[in-house]
Amino acid sequence: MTDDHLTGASADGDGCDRAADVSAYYDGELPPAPAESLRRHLAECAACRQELVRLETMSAWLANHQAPPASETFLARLPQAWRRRRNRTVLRVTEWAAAVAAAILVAFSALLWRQEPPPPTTAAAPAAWETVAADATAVVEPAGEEGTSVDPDVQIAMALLQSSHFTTPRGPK
Amino acid sequence: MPQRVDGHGPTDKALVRRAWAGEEEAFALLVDRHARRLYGLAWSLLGRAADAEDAVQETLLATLEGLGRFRGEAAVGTWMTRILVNTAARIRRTRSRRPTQALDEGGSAGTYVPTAPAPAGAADARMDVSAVLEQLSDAHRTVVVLRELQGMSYDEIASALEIPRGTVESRLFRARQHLKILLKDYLP
Repeated sequence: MTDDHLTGASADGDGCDRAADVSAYYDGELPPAPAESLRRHLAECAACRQELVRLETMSAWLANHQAPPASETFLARLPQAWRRRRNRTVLRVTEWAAAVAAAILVAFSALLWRQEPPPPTTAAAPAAWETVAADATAVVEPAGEEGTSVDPDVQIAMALLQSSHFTTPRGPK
Repeated sequence: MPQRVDGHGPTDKALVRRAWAGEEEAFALLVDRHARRLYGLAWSLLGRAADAEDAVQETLLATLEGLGRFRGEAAVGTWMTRILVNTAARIRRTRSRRPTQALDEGGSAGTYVPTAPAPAGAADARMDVSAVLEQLSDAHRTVVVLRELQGMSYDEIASALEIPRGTVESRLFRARQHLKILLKDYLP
């Protein structure tokens, strides 16, 4: 730090461009060499000596601004406030974790659902009449293709009548 | 700014970590070490007991909650001071948006009429200092309070406010120039 390190600021001082140094000197914050230089300057500069006295007066006046002591009730309340804040934070973290877990679960379920193979088509064994009807259709189809006018339903009915399904005698009632 | 009590006991950093982990005794120790000093600073910056209490509480909680951001380069006390100054500035901004209220002690920043410096400890003198400080900018009020009322060095102020030491010096000089103008009729 040099003697003119606050030249810009010292322009606001009272009549001497070393007023800023007086402020730092008053606070004991000037390095030894500038402090010694200022001490010599003070012996010659009435404005800076006046500045020093003003700083001392201001400090004494500001010293009146000592805060009243903090109330014991307030101090006793602080741990409770911390407990409440901490509990709230823990609750928030828990809620956040639960939300994340739920989101992961939903996403995983959706993924599983999308990848699930289609249910196998386990066709039930055809009923007897279905087999017969299919056979009948197979039998009569060539005729139909040849342009006969027999109705397919009639053909199926005829086939059913001829099949063993209908000719097998039923058991006694 | 105390790190330990009488050279014994855990460091502030250890206490902050323990309190953050949920140890209430550690938090109580931190309160014991710092709350009164923080309250004094908050009161000087804000001039009202209720606002000062809010600022101190918020500072202590923010200190613990911000543990992850604490780089450990500064002392915990300095870190708390930084948080408190920022919190006080926020409270002042909020307050300035509210309708004007009288100070706790009955003063009003808008209608201040300076009185001659009074004997130390006089209630009216304290009120007047509050009113004068109200007329400084946040930046000027802060350096004046930290230096004149908290007795912090330029380096400590620089660390607490995260500004260069030279800025502390020039800012304090300008703040004193402003104070001189406000008190011009009462200074030699």
